[in-house]
Amino acid sequence: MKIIIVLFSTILDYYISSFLNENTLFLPLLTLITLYLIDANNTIIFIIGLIYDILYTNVLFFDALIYLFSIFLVRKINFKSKIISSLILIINYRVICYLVLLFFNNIKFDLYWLIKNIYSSLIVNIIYMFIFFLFFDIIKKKKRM
Amino acid sequence: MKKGKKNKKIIIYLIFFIGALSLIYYSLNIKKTNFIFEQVIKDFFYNSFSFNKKECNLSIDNQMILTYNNNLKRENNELKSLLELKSEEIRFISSKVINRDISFWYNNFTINKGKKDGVDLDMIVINEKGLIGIISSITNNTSTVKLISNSNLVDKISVRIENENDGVYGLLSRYNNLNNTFVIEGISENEEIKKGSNVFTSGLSEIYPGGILIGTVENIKTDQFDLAMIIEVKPSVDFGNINYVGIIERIKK
Repeated sequence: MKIIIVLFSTILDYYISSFLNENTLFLPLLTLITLYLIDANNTIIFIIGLIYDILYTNVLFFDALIYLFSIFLVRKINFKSKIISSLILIINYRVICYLVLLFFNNIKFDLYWLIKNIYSSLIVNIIYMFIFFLFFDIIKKKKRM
Repeated sequence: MKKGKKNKKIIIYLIFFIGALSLIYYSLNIKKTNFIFEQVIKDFFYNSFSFNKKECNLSIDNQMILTYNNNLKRENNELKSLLELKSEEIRFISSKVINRDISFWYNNFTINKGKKDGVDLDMIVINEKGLIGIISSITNNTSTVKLISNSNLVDKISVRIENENDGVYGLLSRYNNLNNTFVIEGISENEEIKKGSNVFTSGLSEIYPGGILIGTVENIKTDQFDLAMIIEVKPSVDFGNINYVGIIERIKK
């Protein structure tokens, strides 16, 4: 069930990004959020990140490893609220991506680009989080009945 | 005992960290082609889930061909008296951008044509406004286009700046992300170049045919020694917003 939800979120990532342009405020990170919310283990995070890389980027281990780092850091911080943790995860992911690309000289130093990517990543992912919690609440209630 | 375990943990984390950085470096800077499993997964996914397989709008297709032919005609007229030209046909393969990652927005994107459509590595990609990039990797059904604004590609492009004489030749040295311009350095101060002059590919490289518009001269400065000019070129293509592209296939007779 969890794997199906993750794969669904990966496909949804693709469909939402198909409507994007550079200046959009709706950058999806649904795969990353889902992996965190379902408490996936490190192997699954790595494999799903690898699949994400194969499908959507040309760089094979990039997202696989950065997903691992970002989720690892957020789990270490260990906020009680999953919503705040997810927001920190989004910021974490964007900052780590930016630093890695900067370190390997793939982008120029541009803090505005980083800030723009962070605030553009918030809206659609927060909406997705609420839908996710609602969906799991409904399933829990049905199981109790 | 406890200290030993702690040290062991730190060493393992360090090894993992260095290994991760190496893998990332490999995939960002060394990896050139897709492995077979990547091709299979990509082809399966885009065949199954890609919607809107409609072809590029015919009028955009025609605009691209017209732009290319007009520029090529101009080049040919100038070169005819000097060189023996090999005649070659070109074929356009129109394509749609199906994926573009925000982290690599100015580096590359994926299009919905691949090997089975006749696409090959190092083919040039343009739109009706000018040069976009080259094909850097292919699967059966998709291809990855490396943009000319990519820092790995920009300094290998030989250009010709139009002027009243035969034109001035130079090399694009980098792409300035802050003001979205290409920079040409090392042009002699004695050359006459005006703002607004068109900049085309020179045709001096094996990969880029001549006569494809890159942009227009926006700003002319001199270097710190006042010996050479630094020219900023505003790209004709809006790299932030690309939806349909044309791939040039050169068929030599």
